[in-house]
Amino acid sequence: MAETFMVVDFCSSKVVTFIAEVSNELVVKHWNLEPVDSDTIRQGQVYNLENVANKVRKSIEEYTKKSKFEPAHVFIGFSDPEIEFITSIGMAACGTPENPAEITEKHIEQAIKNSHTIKIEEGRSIAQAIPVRFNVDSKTDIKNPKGMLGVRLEVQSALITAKKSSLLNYKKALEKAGIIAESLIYQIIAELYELTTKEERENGILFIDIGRDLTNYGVMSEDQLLFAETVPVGGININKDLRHYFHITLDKAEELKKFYSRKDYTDEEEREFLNSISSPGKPLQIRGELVVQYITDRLTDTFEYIKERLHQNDLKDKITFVKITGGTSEIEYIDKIAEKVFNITSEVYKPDEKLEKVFSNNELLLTNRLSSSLAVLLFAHRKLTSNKELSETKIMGNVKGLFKRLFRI
Amino acid sequence: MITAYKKNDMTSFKIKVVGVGGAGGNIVQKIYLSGLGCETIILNTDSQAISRHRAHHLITIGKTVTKGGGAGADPDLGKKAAEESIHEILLKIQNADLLILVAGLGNGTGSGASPVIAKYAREKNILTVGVFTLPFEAEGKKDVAFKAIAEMEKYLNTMVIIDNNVISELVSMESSVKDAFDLVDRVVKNCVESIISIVQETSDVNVDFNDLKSLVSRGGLGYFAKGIAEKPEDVDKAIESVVFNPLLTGVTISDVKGALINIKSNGELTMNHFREILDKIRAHLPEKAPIKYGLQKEGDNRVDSYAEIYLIGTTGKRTTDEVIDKITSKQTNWKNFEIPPGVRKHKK
Repeated sequence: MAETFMVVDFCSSKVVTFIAEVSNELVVKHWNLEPVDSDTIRQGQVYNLENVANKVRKSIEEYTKKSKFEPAHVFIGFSDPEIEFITSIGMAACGTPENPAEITEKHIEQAIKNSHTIKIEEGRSIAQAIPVRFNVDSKTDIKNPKGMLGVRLEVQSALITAKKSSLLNYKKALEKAGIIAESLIYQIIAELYELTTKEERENGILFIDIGRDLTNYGVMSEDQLLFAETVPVGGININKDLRHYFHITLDKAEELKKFYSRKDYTDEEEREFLNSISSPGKPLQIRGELVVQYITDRLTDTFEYIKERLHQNDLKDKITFVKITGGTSEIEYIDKIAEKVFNITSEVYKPDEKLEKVFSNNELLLTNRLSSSLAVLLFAHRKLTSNKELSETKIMGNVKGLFKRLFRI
Repeated sequence: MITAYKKNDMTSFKIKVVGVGGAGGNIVQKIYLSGLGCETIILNTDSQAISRHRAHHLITIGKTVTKGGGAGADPDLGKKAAEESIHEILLKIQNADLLILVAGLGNGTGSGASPVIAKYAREKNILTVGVFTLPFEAEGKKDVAFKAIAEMEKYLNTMVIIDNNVISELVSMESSVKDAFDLVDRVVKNCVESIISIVQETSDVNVDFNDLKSLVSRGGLGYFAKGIAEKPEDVDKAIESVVFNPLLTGVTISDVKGALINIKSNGELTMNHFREILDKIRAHLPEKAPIKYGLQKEGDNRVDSYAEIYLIGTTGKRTTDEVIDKITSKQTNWKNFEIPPGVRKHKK
């Protein structure tokens, strides 16, 4: 019987759990979605350990009744506005100028390990490390240096650092539920590698996931990870804006946002909708175009912020395409707003046919809202299967060995 | 829950505002010159600097340890100076009902002397609010400031932190340095003004000193804001100024666990606007946070505006780590996301 692995993905309003087989093809044996309130998890961070542990326990309850629960590997998917993306160089000596040596897996591991020995601010630690590119002596931008002859191997790693306390809280919450987690996966990194095509990553892609109270975004170009960040803004801010301008509750603001997220609606539908959310004898006097304006303002503002950050990090010219996902991407005109801000083609990502096959077209799971959880699942699966030297990963059909280098977590 | 309270007596409470060091002294001087109803005291180790200041009381502290020459950016020297002059300081502050301690943290006198005064105020059971500014990043003195905050968190009832770095991001690049510092001074002055407006100016429906005491005693970080509507059309903008105050560090209105609101008017404020003000502020506060309001129903010749709104809120007790964590949070720089983009553009 194949080993199993578990993924627990912490989102802003839910904990998503998967139990799957460590096999060539991704076979998901169990999945669960537990909604959480903002007192339990807020902006991706654990605020109530006991509640989170209960949610995790509950998420596997059904599975443990039927099967033995012994996951060989456990991964945590996370996001945190305190995350910092830093790059670091690590080196390993392979031979001498007179006697260059063949670069082995051991040299690569040593160089990667050395790239982690960087001074990190007190109270923070490395959550995830991804080797981005290698240099061997004067040859730069090498994808896989193994087997080359050289004197000095250099690796540039992307390090994701976060507050130690936040990272420990994820692990501790799982421990309380009796589960020991081994690795952390920053959601946007998983999305960049799993929900984009190789062509997009080569040409330069900006991937944006707008969730309830967090927006994750990252950039890849020439198949290299260049930047990733989490910003504390999301769909909830649209609701708050609507609450402020129209003097309504957050629940009503959510309904307003949902209705006016549509591109098309008839006058009658609009009348009916406004009646349905009005209090008896107190009809809501709201102009639809104003709601759309406020939604557009907030999204434009968020994209402008990202554009500014790309500019600050010299990344503006590295992207040719924008892909947007997350719950807030259900606003039907979001791609047009992104196109206007970034001035390049934008598209909304929806879980595609590869995932449809895995989840038998399950509509509850195959939604933009769960893109990050699905990506973390795929990323964890690829890590495990590439470690097992599989000849081909059938889910994504990507280049053998690439992810073996990527997962030095 | 919203409650209104009718005040019976007209007792005046003694509010003393103490400016410690150069930055604290500059701000308190402005409070003195504006004629707010409080007693002002400026303390400094630098006798030359203090001679240029104006306040009700000017005290050069630590004449033996610093010889009037300043603390030289050394908080230990600032501490020793305050300890040396503690009796003189206590004489001026001991009968205060409320003490407001104002200092710029990062240098010697503000960071060293303020914790000593906060400690003695605590021992004398004086309700004390600290209003502090954090140094610019480039000054490299944040550690000194955080050490002082960590110490004072034990003694103060509530703290309001204003980060100079946030201020510098909020003013336009074309603004002069003087404009940026004036903005800091204005924020601190607004904090003091909010307190005075709530406890010293009486009206028919009122909040009083005990309300303030119970709110401030909850501890944690303070949220103080002021909004002025010169005309009825400006009411929305005044509310926005109260509910979106990006100038305070580590706290937004949604963090507040309880609040006092005081509304003053030239007598023309309509019932509709009054309800709108309360309802809109209520909508931004956490659901269960209790609020109390005061209102001047009759016109007051001291108020020219259609409506002046003052709000004081506190987050409730937090540990020092939580306070510093909140202040140092990367999110502090992103707090503007709480403000609707349209409002933010208008504020700039």
